[in-house]
Amino acid sequence: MRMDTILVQETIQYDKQALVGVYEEYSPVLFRYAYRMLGDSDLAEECVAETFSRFLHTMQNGHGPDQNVKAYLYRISHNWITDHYRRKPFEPLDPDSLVDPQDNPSQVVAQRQEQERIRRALLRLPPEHRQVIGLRFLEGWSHKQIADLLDKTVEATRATQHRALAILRRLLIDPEKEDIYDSKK
Amino acid sequence: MTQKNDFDDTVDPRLQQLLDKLHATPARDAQSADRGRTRYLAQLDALGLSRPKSRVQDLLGWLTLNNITNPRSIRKDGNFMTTRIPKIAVITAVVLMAVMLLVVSGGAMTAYASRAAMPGDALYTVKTGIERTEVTFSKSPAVQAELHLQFAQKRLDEMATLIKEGRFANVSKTSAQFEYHVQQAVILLQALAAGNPTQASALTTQVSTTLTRYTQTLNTMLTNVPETTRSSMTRAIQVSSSGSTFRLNDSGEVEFTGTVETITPTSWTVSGRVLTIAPETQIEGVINVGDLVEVSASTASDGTLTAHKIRLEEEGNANSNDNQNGNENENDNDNENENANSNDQHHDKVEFSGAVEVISSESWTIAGRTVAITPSTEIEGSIVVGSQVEVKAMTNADGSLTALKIKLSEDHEGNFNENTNGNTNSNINSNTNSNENGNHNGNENDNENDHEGNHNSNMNHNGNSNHNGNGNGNDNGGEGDD
Repeated sequence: MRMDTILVQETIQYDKQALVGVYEEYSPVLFRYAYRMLGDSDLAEECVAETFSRFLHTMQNGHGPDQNVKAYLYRISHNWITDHYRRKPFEPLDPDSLVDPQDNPSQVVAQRQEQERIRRALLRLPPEHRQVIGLRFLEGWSHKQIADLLDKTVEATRATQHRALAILRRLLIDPEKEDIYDSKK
Repeated sequence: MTQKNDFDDTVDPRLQQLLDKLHATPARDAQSADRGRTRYLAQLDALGLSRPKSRVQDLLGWLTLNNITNPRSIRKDGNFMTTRIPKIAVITAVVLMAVMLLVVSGGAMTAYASRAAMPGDALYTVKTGIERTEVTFSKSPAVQAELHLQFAQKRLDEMATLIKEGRFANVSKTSAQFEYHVQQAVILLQALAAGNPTQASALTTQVSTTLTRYTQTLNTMLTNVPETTRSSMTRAIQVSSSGSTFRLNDSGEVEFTGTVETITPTSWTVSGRVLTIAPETQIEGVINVGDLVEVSASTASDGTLTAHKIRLEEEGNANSNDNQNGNENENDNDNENENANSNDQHHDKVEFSGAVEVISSESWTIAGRTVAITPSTEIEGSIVVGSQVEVKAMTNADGSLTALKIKLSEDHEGNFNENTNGNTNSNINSNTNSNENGNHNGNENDNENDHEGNHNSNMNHNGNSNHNGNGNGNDNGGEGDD
């Protein structure tokens, strides 16, 4: 029996120990996911905390996951990240704030600026496109797993990925074509 | 990519490269993570999901099944856990029950289901997650250290099962977790030494006794694992063995023996423990990575260590150089060379031969005589019940026997090159004892000890000339036949 299945059976029974187990199991992976999408440890912690808080809240209200705790938690995290950027859009990059004095400043700034550029591009994707790219390329999920999470067919998630990659290419690799996407939007 | 369709997985490599740049994540800040966990547990508690009081029985059952009130999985050889743990176990159980009743009053079916989970099993992470939670809930460093020792025991049991089942792929990972728990126990002990020396002193004995036993168990297991698994286990043995030497001296400093792993101007790592090197730290002798050293250090309340003195270990070095290169050539010069300046010099050696009747990890019965097996017992050849063997053993004060060496009789192996040199430990603390095994088989099998009282156990299976030149004048240069 898959652990997810067991965990969900337990969580549905409101078993506290199982709920502790869920946290121990998934909080580290959610932290990494949130960090990759947000680029900030404190924000990532906030995302994890809020995700689990919402998770408990929905459980208490008799809702919550019906089959896959992990996917459910990722979905909450994704929504939190989307909301976060909606509330607080990217600010212009301040190179000084990015420097860790212990590292080589120029290298670190360049590296982090590049990461920010990629995150900004991701942010310009429609939320579902972003979610597919994040799960597929940052988290290494299979199309089947993503399809399950989105409640779609594998073909549909492949199509979403295809479109998302095309947009990202235009945004990150062929910026001169960026207008095309912007005008579509 | 198994499927080709309109939306295949082909990604522009440049794009893939860019996305890969987001992959690395920093280590999670432990304090922030703890805060998050605490917040979650508080929210969980506030949900009011508590169960009826009958669940106390469940909790008791859970504790029992997890060897907290009744450590069933402990070996039967009259050791610390079975003979001395009960009082501590009861205290631990009471503390855990109190805490868990407050915080986690669930019956925990998952806990039940996961308790037997083995590394590599789906529920194993739940099992270890529950363990971490138990530690988090225990506020006392002493209880936490005790829990870590128990979890280390569980990892040992799991390793034994994995080895038995031939699931070697998971042994290294489990071994690393064992190491982690041992390190945590010692770190907690260090922290306790700074805050509560009396309590730390009592715990020191407990940790030391337990880790000595763990080291023995690991050494026994080591003989049954393939080469690929050995390095991780050897490291675990080192950490456990070093942890067992941990003690508090009269001035409240901690002392331990360990192997130097890294050396930088500001910090050294000795058997996994990081030592801050201060300007006033005394470093005696020329010490290199790989050397066995004695350390005395002061502890801060967070468990960090600042070295006062580091010096080359001088007594009782146990160099076990087990070189398994696959050649069956028993070049047994049998130079036991027991220069062990230990207290057992009055022990008599006996030799006998006969059929093996019983084989267990702690003792064997051969020709009706039971001999204890220790980590330093040399066992040569593939011996099974029924094999004819020759035994060299030491008589203990109580008349029991401890095997020094057991090997297949020459009838079976054909090459028992007995070369007992009879140097019965007369070289007490005075000899510079350099053992150099010139191994002409291209194998790394060098023990060089320039210190007193070394106990060198060389299991050299390479079958070549094995010249064991001792600086103590006992030149036991036996040569085996090929």
